[in-house]
Amino acid sequence: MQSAIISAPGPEAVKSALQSLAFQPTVALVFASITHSPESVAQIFAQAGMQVFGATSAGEIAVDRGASTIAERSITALVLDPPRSSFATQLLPANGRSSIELGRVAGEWGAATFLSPALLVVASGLTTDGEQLVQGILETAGPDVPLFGGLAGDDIRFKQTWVFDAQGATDGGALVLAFDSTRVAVSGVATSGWTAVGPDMTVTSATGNIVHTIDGQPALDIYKEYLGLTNDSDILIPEYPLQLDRGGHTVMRAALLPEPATRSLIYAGTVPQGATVRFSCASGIEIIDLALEQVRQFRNQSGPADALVLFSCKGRHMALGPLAEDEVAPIQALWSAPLAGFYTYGEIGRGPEGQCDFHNETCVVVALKERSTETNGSGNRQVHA
Amino acid sequence: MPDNAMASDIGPELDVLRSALEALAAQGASEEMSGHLAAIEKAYQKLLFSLDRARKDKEVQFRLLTRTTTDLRTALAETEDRVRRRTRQLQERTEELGASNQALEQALADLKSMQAQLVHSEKMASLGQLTAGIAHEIKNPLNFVINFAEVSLDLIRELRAELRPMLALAGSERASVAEELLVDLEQNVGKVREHGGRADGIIRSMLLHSRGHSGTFQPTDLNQLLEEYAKLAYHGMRAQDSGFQVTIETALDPGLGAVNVVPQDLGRALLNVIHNACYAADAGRRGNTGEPGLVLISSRKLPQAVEVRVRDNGNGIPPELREKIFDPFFTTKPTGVGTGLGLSIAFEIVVHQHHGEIRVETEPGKFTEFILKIPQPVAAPAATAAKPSAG
Ligand SMILES: Nc1ncnc2c1ncn2[C@@H]1O[C@H](COP(=O)(O)OP(=O)(O)OP(=O)(O)O)[C@@H](O)[C@H]1O
Ligand SMILES: [Mg+2]
Repeated sequence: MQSAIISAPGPEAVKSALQSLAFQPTVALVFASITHSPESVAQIFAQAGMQVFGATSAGEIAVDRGASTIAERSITALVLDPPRSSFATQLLPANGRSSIELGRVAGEWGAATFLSPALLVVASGLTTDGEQLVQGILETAGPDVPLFGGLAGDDIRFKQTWVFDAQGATDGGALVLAFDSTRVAVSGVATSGWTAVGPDMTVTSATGNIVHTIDGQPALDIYKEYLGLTNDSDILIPEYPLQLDRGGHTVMRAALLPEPATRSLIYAGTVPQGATVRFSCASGIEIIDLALEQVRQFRNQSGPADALVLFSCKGRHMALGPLAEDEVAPIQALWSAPLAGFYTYGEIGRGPEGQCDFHNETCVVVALKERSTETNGSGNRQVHA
Repeated sequence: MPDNAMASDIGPELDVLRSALEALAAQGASEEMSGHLAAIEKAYQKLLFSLDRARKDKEVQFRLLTRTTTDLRTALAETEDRVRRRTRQLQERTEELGASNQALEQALADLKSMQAQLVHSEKMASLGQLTAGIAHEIKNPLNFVINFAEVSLDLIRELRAELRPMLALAGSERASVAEELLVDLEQNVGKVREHGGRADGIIRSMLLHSRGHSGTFQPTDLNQLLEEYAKLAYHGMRAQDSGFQVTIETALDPGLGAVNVVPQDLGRALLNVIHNACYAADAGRRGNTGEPGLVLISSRKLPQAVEVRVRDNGNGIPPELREKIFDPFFTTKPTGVGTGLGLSIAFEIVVHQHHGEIRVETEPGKFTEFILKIPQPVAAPAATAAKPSAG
């Protein structure tokens, strides 16, 4: 399977990059800033004969041959040429359905489309309950289905996010890309690299993704006290996410917004009442070292890939600052395959322990590999516009 | 914090680096050079960022650690508190156990003394039956002995009167021999009479013992009773022994009121006790203590009883004898002086008849005090005015 990366500041640059491609891709994984109209971005790829799996982002990632681009307000795409019969997309506008219902429909569709589907999913970053979506998909597509993805972003405006394919777009639903896993292998790993610090705390009151009290104290006050914040509005500090104990594995939860009236905190994922949580903390280099170690182990098991997709948290991007490129470049180097991805509002994937879960502050690496024996040569190339 | 210090320590170094970079850029370097400069600039930014992060991380970690420490300290304090509470509970429990143990010991002691009293009562009861029988059997022959002894004394007197003229004729030597024989005879018969009398006294005591209690309870001026029997005892002693020297003092509670007792029987019990006290006080005066004999009789009103104390400054009762003094026929007095029935009779009257208590406190060589307690459950009407203490 041939693959290439397109990383461009706008639609025109994308068009010209497409023209200089040395192969005819059949599908494009497109991650674009909200500053570009999702439909028109989709149309560029559709008109070039590709199916589209697209989401708006909060930062775009493109790495190939040692050159890494972490851009904002840009358009990034991974274009591939798997046989058209080996994949399909399905856009699922919410239409009043809950996240778990959407998930069930998505899983059902995947299982109906291929005998052994592997699923990539992107969904609205502001209206989706990531946990429920994952649960719904696993319910209908089976608990062992390869499932990876992320929630769409909007450059931290928290106003409107989109997912889109060649046929349309929605700001309140999900988009699924199903591969026939007997022909295109999809595998991946979700790694965070955060280290828990401080005492175990108990979430004493919470509803959905809103945490009211921790250890009986208003959540906002706990954060201000330990993280040394002066203003309520300083709460979007992705450097110190909560590590949520799932009994066997942990997931990260990042605080997004305060509710000053109730002194509650809104998180980028559900935090169940009664859960045990700890603050986590790590200087950028340590996070990267730990995460890279886990990706390296995954690489040793999974073998080579034709292309890589990255769903990495926007909070992680903010926490890593200028070091962010020091994470993505070494990941790409492990496979030497083109890598495209975006900074998300939540990640979906299996951790090293094997459970598929919904994460924050995490980096999900997905490796795609066509299983066919035909040798098209390694026609990978990056086109910078 | 050290990292903070480090960040600020190398601050000047960073500034130097910064201005060096700017100077190089300002010189308008070659294209290759500006590539290197950009790379240095980027590395410099990463360095700054990492330093800043490290400093913030340490601060947060420090705060969280402080919290952990505080939590641990609180947990420790709580644990200590729990241990302390538990210890106190255990102590209280131990004390409670100690208290109930004491109560049990007391109950056991009460039971033992009750048992002893019961055994004593049994003894007294069977003794009563026995003595009634014996006394009855002995009384008649004894009456014969006494009567015939008295008749014999009369006969001796008559015989002496009859013989006197004849002996005058017979000459002085033979007369005096006969006279001596008569005197001896009279003395011997007198001894028979005397000891018969004593035996009769014993029999009478025994009969009294076994008679049962037929007397009736009536409101009695107990203080008056005490004074009467004190006098009786004193004069009785005096009559028997002219060397007897004891002062009897009384301290009687004028508020005693009328006490419901059987006066004749209780009087007998009091007499026995006072008699013993006088005997002991006098014996002490003559013997060990050498102090003037003194007997103090006092009465006292208690909430539900009246108490009488008879105290003497005699020799006291040695510990090994204290158990036995209430036993019938126990006596330490010389033969012919005591029968050993006085206290057993007093016990019978006070404990069985009047449902009271009698006990003794004593210190050898110093004093003996008998304490009698007669319960008075309902305050008897002051039918008889108490007589003022005779002091
Ligand atoms: N006040 C006392 N001081 C010292 N010993 C006493 C006293 N009262 C009683 N006793 C002792 O108790 C014994 C028994 O007393 P109890 O009155 O029963 O008999 P008694 O006085 O010996 O003879 P009885 O009273 O028949 O003439 C006495 O012999 C004496 O040893
Ligand atoms: Mg006596």
